[in-house]
Amino acid sequence: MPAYKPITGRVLRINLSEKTYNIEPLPEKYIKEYLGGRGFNIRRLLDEVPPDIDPLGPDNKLIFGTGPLVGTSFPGQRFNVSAKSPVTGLLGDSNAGGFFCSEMKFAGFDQIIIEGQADERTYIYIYNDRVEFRNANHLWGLDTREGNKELLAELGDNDFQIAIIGPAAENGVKYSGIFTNIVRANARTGMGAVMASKNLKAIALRGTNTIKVENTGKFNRLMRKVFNDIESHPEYESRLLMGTTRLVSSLNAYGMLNTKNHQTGVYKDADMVSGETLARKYNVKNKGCFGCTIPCSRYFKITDGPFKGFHSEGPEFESLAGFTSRILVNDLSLALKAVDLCNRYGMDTIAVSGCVSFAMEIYDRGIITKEDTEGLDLSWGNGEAVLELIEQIKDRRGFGGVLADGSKVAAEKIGKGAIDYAMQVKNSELFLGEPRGIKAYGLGNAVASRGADHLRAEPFFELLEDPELGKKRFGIPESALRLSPKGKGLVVNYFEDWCAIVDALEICKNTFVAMEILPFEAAADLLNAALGWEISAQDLQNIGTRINNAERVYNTMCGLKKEDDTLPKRFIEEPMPEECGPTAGSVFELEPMLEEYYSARGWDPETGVPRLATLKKLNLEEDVSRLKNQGIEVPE
Amino acid sequence: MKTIISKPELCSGCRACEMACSVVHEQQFGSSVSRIRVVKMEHEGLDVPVTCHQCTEPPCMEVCPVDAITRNGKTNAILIDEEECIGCGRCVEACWAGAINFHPDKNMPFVCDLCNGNPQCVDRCPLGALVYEDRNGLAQKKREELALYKGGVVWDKWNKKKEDI
Repeated sequence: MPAYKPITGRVLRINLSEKTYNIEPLPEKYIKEYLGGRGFNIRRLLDEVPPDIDPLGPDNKLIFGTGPLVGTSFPGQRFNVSAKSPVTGLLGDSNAGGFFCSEMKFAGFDQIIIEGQADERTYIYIYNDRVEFRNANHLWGLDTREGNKELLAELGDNDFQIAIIGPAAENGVKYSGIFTNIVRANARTGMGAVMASKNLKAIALRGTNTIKVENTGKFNRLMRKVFNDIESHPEYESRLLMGTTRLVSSLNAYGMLNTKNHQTGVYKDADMVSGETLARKYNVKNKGCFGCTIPCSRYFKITDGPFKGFHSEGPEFESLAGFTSRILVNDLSLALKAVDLCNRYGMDTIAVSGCVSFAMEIYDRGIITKEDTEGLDLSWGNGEAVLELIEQIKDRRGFGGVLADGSKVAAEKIGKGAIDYAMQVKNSELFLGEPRGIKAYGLGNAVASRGADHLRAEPFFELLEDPELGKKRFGIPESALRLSPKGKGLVVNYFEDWCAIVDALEICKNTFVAMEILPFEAAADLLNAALGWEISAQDLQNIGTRINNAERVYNTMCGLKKEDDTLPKRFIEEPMPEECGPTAGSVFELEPMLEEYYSARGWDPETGVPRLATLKKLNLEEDVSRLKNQGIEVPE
Repeated sequence: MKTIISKPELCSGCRACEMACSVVHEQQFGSSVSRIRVVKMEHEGLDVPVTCHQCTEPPCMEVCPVDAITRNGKTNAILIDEEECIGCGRCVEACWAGAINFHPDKNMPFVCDLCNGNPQCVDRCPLGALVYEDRNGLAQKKREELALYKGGVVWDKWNKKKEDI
C-alpha cells in the first residue's frame, strides 16, 4: 500500500471513446506554478482543450482536480470539476465539498481527466489503480439519489464515493451538475451536461492508500492551531447552528437580500424562511465535509404540513433564498422540497431559481402569458407552480424547455425586452445577495471567470465596515465600506487571488476566507510542513494571481470581451427602493470599479486583455502565443 | 474502566477521528489504517463512529489460537501482540462490532489501543460525538438526563440555576 505525498504527482487519464486509461505523472510545472485543484485544472484546459471546441462534443475534457491538503487532517476538503462550459461558452469550473475529494487522494490521484465519448451508457469503476468501464443502462434515468443507492448496493461496499448525474443532465439541461454524497453539488457552469454528453452516468471511486506529510510533528502542531482558531472564532456558534442560511435574516436586515428577482432587498416574510426558523423547526443534527471542525451543513426532517416526514441534508443560503425570497415563496417546507428536487434531478439551484424568478417577473409584466406557459400560473409566490416548473425544466418540456439553457438564452428567444429581467452575467445566473448593497461582491460577479459568481472573490471584508482596516489593507478607508465603490477593484483583485489559492488547496472558503482563518502566511507554513517546500506568502499570492490570469487568458481565447464584464442594467440604473433601509437609494457604479480592477490586474482598460508585461511576470509567456494564434492582440 | 463511546446523534460524519487516529498510530493519513471508522449511510442520514468496545469478555481474545490478545494493565485496552499474532483472522470473525481490521501493509490485525489513555479521536472530535468515559459514568449521566426530563427541567434552565447558585 503506497503512502503518497500530499501532492501525489499522479494523474489518471481515461479515454471513453477508446475505453483505455493510463496513469501519468503530473508535470512539475503544474505543481510549482499552479499548486492544486482549480490551478491544475485551468492549466490542463489551456494545454489540452482548444477554445473553439463544442462543449458538448467529444473534444471537451472533464477534469476532476484536488489539492495538496486533501487527504490529510485539514478540516473541510473539496475538489474542482472543470471543462469548457456549455452554459457560458467560457471556462467551466465547479467546486464541491464532501468526501469524493479525499477518496481521490486515497486512490492516489491529484487529477482525473476524462476524454472522448462512450459509445454506450457507461459508469467508470475506480479502485485505487484499477479502472473498469461498466455498462450503465440500468442507471440511466435514475435520479442522483436513486442512482447513488443502486450503485452502492451493486458494489456491495458502502465506502465507495459516487459522482453521478441526474435526468436533467441526461436530457441536456445546460446548468446540470455532478452530485456526490447525495447533496454535494458541483453545480455551476454545467459540468453535469458535459458528463452526460460523454455518455457517462457516474464514477464510483474507492481509495485505500494513505497520505504522508513531510514533517508530521510540525504539520500536526500547525493543524491544532487551525482547529483552535476556528473554534474560538466569534462566528463559530452561529455558523455551526445555521451554516450560511444565517444570511437570510442578516442580509434582509441590511436590505440586501435578493428579493423578487432583485427588485428589492427586503423580504417581508424572511422570518418564515430564515436559517433561524429552519434550525428551530426542522434541524436534526450537523453534517460536515471531510474532516471539518465547523460542520455547517445540517440534516433536517420536516415535521409538519404536506411534506411531513421528508428528510434530507442542507440547504445552504443560496438554495434556501433562491426558492424563498427570490421568488416570494414563504413556505419553508415547500422551498426545501424544491431544493431537493433540483438535487435529485441534478441541477444547479442558483440557476434554476434564477430562471424561475426571471420567468415570474416577465409573467408579472405581461411579457409572457398563460399561453406561453401552457396554463402554468407563474404569479409571484406560487409554490406549486414552482415545483411543476422544476419538473418541466428537468424534462426540457413546456415552458421549462425555454428556461433550460439559462435566462439570457431564454430572454433572447422570448424577445420583447425580456433581457432586462434576466439577472445573469455571461449567461450564468446571479447569486442571492444584492450587488447594490455589497459592491465588491457586485464587482466580483461582473468579472468572475466562470460567469456570475460570488465565490471567485468572496470579499467578506467589505462587510466589516471598518475604515481603519480599509486604509491599512488597501490604502483606501472606503474599501471596507460595503456601499462605497472606492477601492473595490483592489479588494476584488486581492480576494480573487486568495480564493484562487483556497480553491487550489481545495479547502473551504467559508472558513478560510470569510472567517479569515488561513492568511497566505499560515497557508505557506502548512504547505511547507506538508511538502517540505520553502514557499513564501508572496509566492502563494503570485500563484493565486497566475491562476486568475490563466483563467482570463482561456476566457479571452473563448471569445470573452470587456462588454461581458458587466451586470444587468437594473443594478446600474435602478436605485434600491426606499424600503431597503440602510441600502436604500444605492446603485452599482460599474465603470470606476471595473477600471480600478483592470488596472490592479494589469489588464488593458479598453479590451480587458491581460497585458504582455503582466503575463510575462507570471510566467504565462507560452500563452501569449496562444492568444496571438487566435488573432487576439496582446497589448504591451 | 473508561472506553470510547460514540454518540451518533451528535456525529456530523466528517471522519476527522479517522485522520487523528491514523496519524498518531501510523504517521500517515488514511481511513484504511484508522482504528476508528465512521459508518456513513447517507440515504438514512446516519453517521456512526465504530471502534473497539473493550468488551468485558472479548470474543476476539477467546478465539485467538496463540493467546496474542491481552489487555493493557493501565487502560484495560485490548492489545494484539504483533510478535505472537499469526494473522489467522479469527479475531476479525469473532468481533461483533467489526472493530478489528487487517492492516493493508502488514496483513495483520489491528485494533484501537485507547492511545494509552488519551484517545486522539476523542480529542479531535469537534462536536463531542466521541467521549472517553467509564460505563458507569455514562449510566450516571443518562440517569441525570432522565431526572431532568422527568422533572420537566431542560438543560439550559438547569445550567442557569447552577450559575445563580
